Amino acid sequence: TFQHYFKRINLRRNDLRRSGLTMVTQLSNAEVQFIIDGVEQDFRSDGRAAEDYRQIELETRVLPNTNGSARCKLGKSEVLVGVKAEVVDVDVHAPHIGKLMITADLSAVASPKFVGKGSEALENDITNVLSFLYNSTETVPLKDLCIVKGESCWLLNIDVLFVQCGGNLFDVASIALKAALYSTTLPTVRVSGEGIEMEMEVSDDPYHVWKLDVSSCPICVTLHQIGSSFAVDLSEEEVACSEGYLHVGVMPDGEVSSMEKAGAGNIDPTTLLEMVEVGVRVGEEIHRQLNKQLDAERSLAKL
Amino acid sequence: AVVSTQSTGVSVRSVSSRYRGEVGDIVVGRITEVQQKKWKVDCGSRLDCQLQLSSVYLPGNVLRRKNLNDELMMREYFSEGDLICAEVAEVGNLDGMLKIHMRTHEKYGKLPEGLLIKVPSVLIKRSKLHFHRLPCNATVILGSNGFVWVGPHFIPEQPIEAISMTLRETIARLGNVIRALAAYGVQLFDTIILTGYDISLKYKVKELLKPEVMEHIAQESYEHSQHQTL
Repeated sequence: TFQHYFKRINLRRNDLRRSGLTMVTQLSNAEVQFIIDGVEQDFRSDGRAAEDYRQIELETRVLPNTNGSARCKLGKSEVLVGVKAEVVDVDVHAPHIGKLMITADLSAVASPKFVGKGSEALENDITNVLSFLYNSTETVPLKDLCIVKGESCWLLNIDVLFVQCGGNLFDVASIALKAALYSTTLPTVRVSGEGIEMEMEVSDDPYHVWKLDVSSCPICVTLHQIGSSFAVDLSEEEVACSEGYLHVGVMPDGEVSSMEKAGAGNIDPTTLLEMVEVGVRVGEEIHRQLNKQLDAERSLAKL
Repeated sequence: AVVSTQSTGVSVRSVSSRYRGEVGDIVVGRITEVQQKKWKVDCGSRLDCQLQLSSVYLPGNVLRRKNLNDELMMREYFSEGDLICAEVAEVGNLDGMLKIHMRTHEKYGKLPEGLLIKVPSVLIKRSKLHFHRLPCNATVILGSNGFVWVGPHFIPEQPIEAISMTLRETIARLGNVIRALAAYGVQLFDTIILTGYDISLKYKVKELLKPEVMEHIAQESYEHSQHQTL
């Protein structure tokens, strides 16, 4: 059965090489077997269990010209997220809510593969996954971003920049995104007058600001199928042995905000349900730790 | 940086430099291409190394002149992606391209199931032995090119038995110890790895991934090895 598996994995090599999801695209069959056996026995090559994440380093308010920012490091992957707010006209179909626009950018610093158009495919993937994650109105309270119903609202431009790629890009981006939104401060707007004479005054006072409510912001937990089992937070060697993968958007209360299956390879329906279960459990724990650290950082800064 | 004093002065080798081979070095490499009568091997140097068909042992410990059949069967011996252990035979004058060969049958050849860790090549101390069969049932091959392989005891070409859970733990633990030592620029050789392994026994294997634990292991192993040399 391993021979069939090796054949399938080998066919995926070109796919992996082009996409840039992992820098490691060549492994011997022996190494692949070692990794698969490890995951199936719940003991991976570095001693982690299938549900264990690597150490996450997080810092907010790192970019001074933004409304909110965060830098997050997971394993070797490092990502910078900046949130910039601007006042725009409301969408005709949704006149009472604000807008979010998420863009992912893979820096050429991360890999020579990302020079020029090489990063387009993976950038689109990441942008789509993150946008889908925040698609529902229950995630970020977009109503709070409305300034004048039917007229103006805040548009949050969220830029996700990958400085280093070392596996598990989607998860680290979503964690940094939530942290950046947590640190986002928006100036208060004073609206006076009505109709044509309406005047909007955006406050210049740096202390006259309000913070976004991120208590429902989801994070993405990516689970890869390896052999007959699955795992979270894969290293690059492990990604080269995996087939299909699943992105689960988990909210802090354990609700699933979005789910997306990707990658070449199928996932068995029963395994799918197990994956979602594990994804929710892992996601809730990450939210707990993340909130604890963000609150601690905020109290240190006394903001 | 790795500093060593010599009679003529001080030699400083930076940690981020590429591997420059010397004749007699033992290297661990990955086959990248199968060409006519030779394989191209990635050793982490500026150019891929060459492994000639004429310098390998055939299965069954046979060293003979290779014929056309053998040429056609090259992919059966080593194919793209395989990890091999070999010795540097020649260093090219003009371009520095290494020619590697497998001198004996017992240690050189295709590597079975195990773990490959890449460390800066400068951290591998040149010694008489690079192929270490450790008492904890694992083998560590310290390739001079910085490719370190950790796995079970094996004899090339012979199938290995299934890796038990304890052996898997040992391999993972050794791997994490080596990563910890390399992260703090400690020179690698068998005794320091064993020292690091003993120090690490009080932690769980996955705890060895934490930066403070890695620092502790690197520091204590280094101090221990300094005491021993004194």
